[in-house]
Amino acid sequence: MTTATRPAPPRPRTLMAWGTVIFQADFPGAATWNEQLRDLILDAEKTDPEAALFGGINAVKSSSDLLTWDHPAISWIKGRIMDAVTALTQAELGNAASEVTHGIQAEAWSVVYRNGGSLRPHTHHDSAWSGVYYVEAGDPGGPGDTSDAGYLQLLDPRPAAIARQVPEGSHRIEPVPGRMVAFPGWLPHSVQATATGDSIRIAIAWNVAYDKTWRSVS
Amino acid sequence: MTAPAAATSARTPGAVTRYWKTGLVIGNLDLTGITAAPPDPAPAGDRCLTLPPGAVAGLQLLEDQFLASMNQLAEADGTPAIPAVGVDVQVWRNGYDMPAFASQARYAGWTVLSATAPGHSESGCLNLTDPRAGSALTAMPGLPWGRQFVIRPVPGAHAVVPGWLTCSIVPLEPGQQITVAVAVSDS
Repeated sequence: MTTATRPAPPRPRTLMAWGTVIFQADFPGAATWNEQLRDLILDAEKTDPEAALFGGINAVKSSSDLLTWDHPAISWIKGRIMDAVTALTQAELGNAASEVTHGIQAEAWSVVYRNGGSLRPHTHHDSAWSGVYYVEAGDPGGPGDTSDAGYLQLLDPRPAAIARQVPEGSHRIEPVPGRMVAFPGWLPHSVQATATGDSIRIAIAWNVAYDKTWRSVS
Repeated sequence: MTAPAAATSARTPGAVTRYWKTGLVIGNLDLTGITAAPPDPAPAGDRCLTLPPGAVAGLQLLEDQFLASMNQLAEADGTPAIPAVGVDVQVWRNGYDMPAFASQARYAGWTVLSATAPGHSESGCLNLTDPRAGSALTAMPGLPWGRQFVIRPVPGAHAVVPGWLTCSIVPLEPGQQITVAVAVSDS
């Protein structure tokens, strides 16, 4: 007589779900482009009628047409933005990312931070992807400045988890010339105060959205 | 701008990392040794009825499994072990639903003990909500954000989640009944 034994069901699986994708890259050869971008941005700041002190402190934002400027350095930064978007899209959609090639709308603007400039937490809620590229980092600061002057802070997007003090809360990224950081537009982020003094910190921020004509991607 | 048709080329520097993951334990349990009263063919009264402990054989087995799953999750989270768990057995019926809820406990869990088959596949499902604020509101091809985990009410279905996670129960259909063990961690 044999005894039939039913195979035991598999042990319940642990899934780590809903992780938030963040892209980071330090582009080789960026120094030459950064010199050109710096000059372009500071020149435009003098004449840009839409340049303004916006929601931050001591931060001047240019108009959002930076990607339309006719200059090889702008073409270069467009390519780096697409590098970030392609990597992020592939991470979220896998093989289906190859279908997402049209209807991509991008805008970018410069931000020049001076003496203690910072930016409070915010999102870019109309865009799928957002990012920042560092043209110039500024000085690390003097005795009166913190060691994280100018750092980008990406904030845990799960308010309920924060309320329970589950996570560390933020992921901090040092501003380094030639560094690109990109993330979903809904991810809250902020900028630590730039060091005090005469040095400036220059960043290019950007948004990428999709027009509503995209086909369903399963 | 038009994206390159190909994926990221090998020359592209940089890396994508995922942060702030939320741990879940999902499975399908063997209910041997665990039995609950059969569904009442003509239910009346409370939409959610909590059964007395003696109504379910094998309650200790259920508690042991919930404790194991919660500690599996605590280990994944890198947090202290759970010392004990409390389990109620409930009967959901008469259109019972829960639009949105969370638990004050560190972990919450469910195991479906018995269920009648609904006409619609989502009736009586437990939904686990994407906890990332604003993620569901962004138009992105493929809609990768704001998706829910859906636990269908079939016998043996088992889930343990962080207590802070917003969950919901899709309204049961008329005549549908689900007997479910509901657990919360003792810390």
